[in-house]
Amino acid sequence: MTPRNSTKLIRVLYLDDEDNNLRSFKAAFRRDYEVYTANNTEDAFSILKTHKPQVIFSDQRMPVTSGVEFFNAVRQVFPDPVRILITGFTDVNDIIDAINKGHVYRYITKPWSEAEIKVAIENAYDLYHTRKQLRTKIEDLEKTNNELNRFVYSVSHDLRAPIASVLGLVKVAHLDVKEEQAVSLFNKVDQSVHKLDLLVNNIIDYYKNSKAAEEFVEVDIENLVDDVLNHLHSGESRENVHIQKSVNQNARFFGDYFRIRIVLSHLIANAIKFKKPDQDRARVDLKFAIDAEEIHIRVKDHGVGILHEHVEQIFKMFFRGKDQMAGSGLGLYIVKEALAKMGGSIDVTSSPGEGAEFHICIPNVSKDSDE
Amino acid sequence: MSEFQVEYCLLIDDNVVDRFVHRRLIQHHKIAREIVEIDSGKEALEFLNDALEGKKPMPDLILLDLMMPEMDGFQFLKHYEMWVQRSKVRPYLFMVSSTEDDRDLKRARENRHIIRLLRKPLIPSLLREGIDQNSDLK
Repeated sequence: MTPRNSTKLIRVLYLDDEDNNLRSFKAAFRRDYEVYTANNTEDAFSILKTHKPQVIFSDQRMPVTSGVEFFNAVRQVFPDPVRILITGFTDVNDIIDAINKGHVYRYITKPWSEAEIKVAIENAYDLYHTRKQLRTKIEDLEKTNNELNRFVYSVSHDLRAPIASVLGLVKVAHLDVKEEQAVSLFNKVDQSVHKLDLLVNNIIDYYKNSKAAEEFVEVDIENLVDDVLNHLHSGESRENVHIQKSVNQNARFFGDYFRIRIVLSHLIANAIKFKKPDQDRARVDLKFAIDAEEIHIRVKDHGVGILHEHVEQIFKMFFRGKDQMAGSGLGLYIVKEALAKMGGSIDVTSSPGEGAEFHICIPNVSKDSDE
Repeated sequence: MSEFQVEYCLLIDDNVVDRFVHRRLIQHHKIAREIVEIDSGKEALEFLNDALEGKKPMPDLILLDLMMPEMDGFQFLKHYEMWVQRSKVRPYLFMVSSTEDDRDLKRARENRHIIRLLRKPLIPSLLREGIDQNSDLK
């Protein structure tokens, strides 16, 4: 039973055209509950308005409006109170209909017993209370969720501007200052700020992936790759990567362009991040195979590869390899999430020292869009 | 062929650090011979109008920041549209921004005056490439 403040009684309204019934109801329950009675719907509505009862009883058979009709009208204006019909056995079809349509919570047959009504009131109040709590919780959660999203988004954007300024300043510093010690300090600043930039960008991508609606467009592979390279985050500009691309296209491809771009950007950024130390630029082979059903993309790098014991874990949030190079631990997690939203899949084969090959499969939605 | 890619560059950006960075990178990579910094869209429009009347040199390269107070990059471009109709010249115009907002990226792609949206910090080779690829449009 829901604990209640004992000084606050449950408010109950009873509507019946027979004053005798009203009187006996009131006499029976007025000590335990705050009882309001009405012998016509107009009075009932004005009680609903001023006293906000939590439980409403109504007789089914009344001269002008039936109980079910009354409840249906109440429901439009006061959805919260729990509605209970009091009726004789003769109205079975009306009752079934009313319960199925959700107009009433339950019914009680005449003649009612005091115990029966009490149980009905207590149960109805529990329901009322639980519904109310649930609604408040949902509203709170929605509000918090919205605020959080807005917060993350604006923080990420406002952070990126000064980060970009610092990165620019470091570039200029490298042009203007050649003194060895200073250069080594600039490099360290550069590395740290790049890391920060990467993290902020990953937060933005994560946010976008969780928020953006799916938008299917025809994807042109040439444009896509170009776009991906333009989108590489500052630490990994397209100068740092050599792309070898092959396209085997047997059908037009329609898909969620934005998420496919996120997936490829992160994989290529990873290839750059994990190139072998003696490699000047990362080498990435991109193979696209498209048919009417799906697109297969193979992203093969020639970098340091992934340790066997890590292969299972790299798609987990905040997983980072042991080495210093590792980033925020968000990149591949975002990749996996984005693919999950598209109904796609990803797997990886790798041996340390030999690079890694990611194999992505995304459904071609062209069939859906043709309909 | 001049040793500079273009003669006269206009930097429109409210952030003094970014203007400094862009000036230095453009100088170093010999992209423009002369660089003028302007810190708001409104003043930039005045400058362009003066250039039409011959009171100021005509820029052949413009780097336009997106997020600026009062008049942002896209608002500036609405006025710029009218200016272009009068001027009959079309400077190379790049938008430069740290934005990650896809709506901005999309708007920039769709705006016919913007050659490309370049992310901050500026990568000079991309600017150089963008000018080269569009030199036939002049």
